[in-house]
Amino acid sequence: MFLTKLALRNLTRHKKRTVITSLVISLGIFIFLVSDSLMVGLSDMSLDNNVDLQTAHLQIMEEKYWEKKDEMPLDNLLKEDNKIIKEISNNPQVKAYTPRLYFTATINNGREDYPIKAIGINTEKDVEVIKLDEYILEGEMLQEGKFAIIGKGLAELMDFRVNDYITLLFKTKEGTYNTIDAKLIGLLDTPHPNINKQNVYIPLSLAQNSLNTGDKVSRFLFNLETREQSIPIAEQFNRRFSQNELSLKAYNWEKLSYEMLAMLKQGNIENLVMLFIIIILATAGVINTVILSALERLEEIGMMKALGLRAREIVYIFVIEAAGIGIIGSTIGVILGGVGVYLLKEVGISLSMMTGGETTFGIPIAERIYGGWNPETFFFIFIFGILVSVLASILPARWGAKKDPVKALYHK
Amino acid sequence: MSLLKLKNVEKVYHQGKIDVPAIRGISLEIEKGEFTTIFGPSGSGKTTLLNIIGCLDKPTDGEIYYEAEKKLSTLTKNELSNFRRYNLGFIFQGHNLIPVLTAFENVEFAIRIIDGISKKERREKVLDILNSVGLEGLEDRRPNELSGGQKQRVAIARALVKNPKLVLADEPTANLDSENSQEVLNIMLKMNKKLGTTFIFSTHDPQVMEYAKRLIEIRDGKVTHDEQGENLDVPH
Repeated sequence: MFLTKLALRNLTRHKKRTVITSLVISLGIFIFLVSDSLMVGLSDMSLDNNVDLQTAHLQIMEEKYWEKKDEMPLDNLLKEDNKIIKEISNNPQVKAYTPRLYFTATINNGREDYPIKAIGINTEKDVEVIKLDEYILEGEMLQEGKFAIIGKGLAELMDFRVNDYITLLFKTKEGTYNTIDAKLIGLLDTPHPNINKQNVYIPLSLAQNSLNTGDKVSRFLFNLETREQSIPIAEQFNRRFSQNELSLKAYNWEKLSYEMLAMLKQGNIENLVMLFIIIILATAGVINTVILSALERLEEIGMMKALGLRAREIVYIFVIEAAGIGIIGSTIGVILGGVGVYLLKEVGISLSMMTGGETTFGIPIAERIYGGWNPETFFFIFIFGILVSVLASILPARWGAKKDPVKALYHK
Repeated sequence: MSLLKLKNVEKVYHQGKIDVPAIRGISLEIEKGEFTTIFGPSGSGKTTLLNIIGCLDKPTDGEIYYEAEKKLSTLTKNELSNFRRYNLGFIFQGHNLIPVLTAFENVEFAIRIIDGISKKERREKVLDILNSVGLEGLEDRRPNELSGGQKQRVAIARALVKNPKLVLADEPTANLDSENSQEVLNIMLKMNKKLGTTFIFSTHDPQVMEYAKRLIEIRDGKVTHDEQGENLDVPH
């Protein structure tokens, strides 16, 4: 107890040094907490946007189509009026489902072409699964007929306005070129930048007729009661398909978002890098402080040894001092981090400000990123800051404590 | 029975390939309650001898016996720490007080590390010894609030509070003016008489030597003169 009291009093010897070392730890903790909050926010928002506007909770397609789905091929399609799909959609967990036909095309404004992702959607059913109607910026939601809606990013790029005619150029199922001239009746402004810049939505019937696919579609998109149900429901559907010897397969939102999840995992690696930076900062700061303290207190160490203090008791004094620095640094860091995370959560940060508005690096967030709140991280990093300080102090403390008492007493 | 017995003690320092002898075969006996001064020119080996007696340094050769039976030269580092903790008091040239502790706490330090002393007993011992060295009322002052003489008195109190049988003082008055030196020496003499504590000093100050009841002169690591009594021939 006495040695603990002495160690804590020692923190007041060089207040500036204690404060600076603590602030170094605080800075590391603050950066980690803000970075973690951004990653949590980024992850939550990205997944929400991707599921709500792109993948839905679950999709059903032919297994062979899945392998080439990124190319959006026109073979291995499904019948739109599909008996098994109707049957499984009676599952009480299924809220709604919709067919879609995906194909690649180029959009033309009379002067230039731009490659896009064209999607034929069922104008009645689709809004029950993907609520594009909530994001109409100008004009109206898609109707049956030779109409189209596109994102505002694409409209700006190609200089389209509502009521303009767009021309889509594409290859039909047989590989011959065809075009669709459709009237632009609505502009979308979604939080998903890819939808705003790449997607063109047309009625499913118009797509089927123009592509010569008959009554075929690429996939069925399902919305369930909750996102979490998608894994067991997909398994349940797949068992049903196997029993009926069908080559269909249900894919949950995680499988559908695997590229994005991989990218978010990359973000977790960045967090590990941040942790490593904190270790380096705290270790350097604490080692420096303990060595300086030991050097300044050599005579005192000699005196303590003469009084009969053992090396491990002297080590204890330095380690407790380092723990004190760790506690101060971690506390300040967690408080500052808390303020930072609160601001990130309430005000957010503009993605275009961060990236100069040029790119979103594939992140499915268009405007502001809002931080996420993760209390476990606060607890973890608080303990981590103290632990790193304590561990970093052990070696220099042992170095000081093992000094020969005579050399320590008469080092001058 | 002697308190301390040194038998052919030698200490050689190795400086690179050169061996530098600091103590050359010293044999000495110190009786309980002695007030002894070791003197000699700088580099004669008096501090080395004091460090060896104080178990801070180990002799290269020879034996040291404490109270006839304990052979100090064979003890491990931890055993030596324990020995110092319970049996020895040190007074250094620079008082070596801990600046963040009060006078009371600095003195208390020496017995906080000794098991079996209650808080009440500790408090009584510390206040008693602080009174004995004339620091009554200054218990709560930190070292930077005390004069040089007062600091050295705190250091004496710290050395004596555990009532050790032997106190070693390396040039205890070197940083003090004449008036403070005399005060400090009188206190040590008083404690020597009151508690029967054995004191061994190293010094080259004739004023200090005048207080001694035994004078041991060291030159080139050897005892060249050893005299005891009331009216010693103090070299000036």
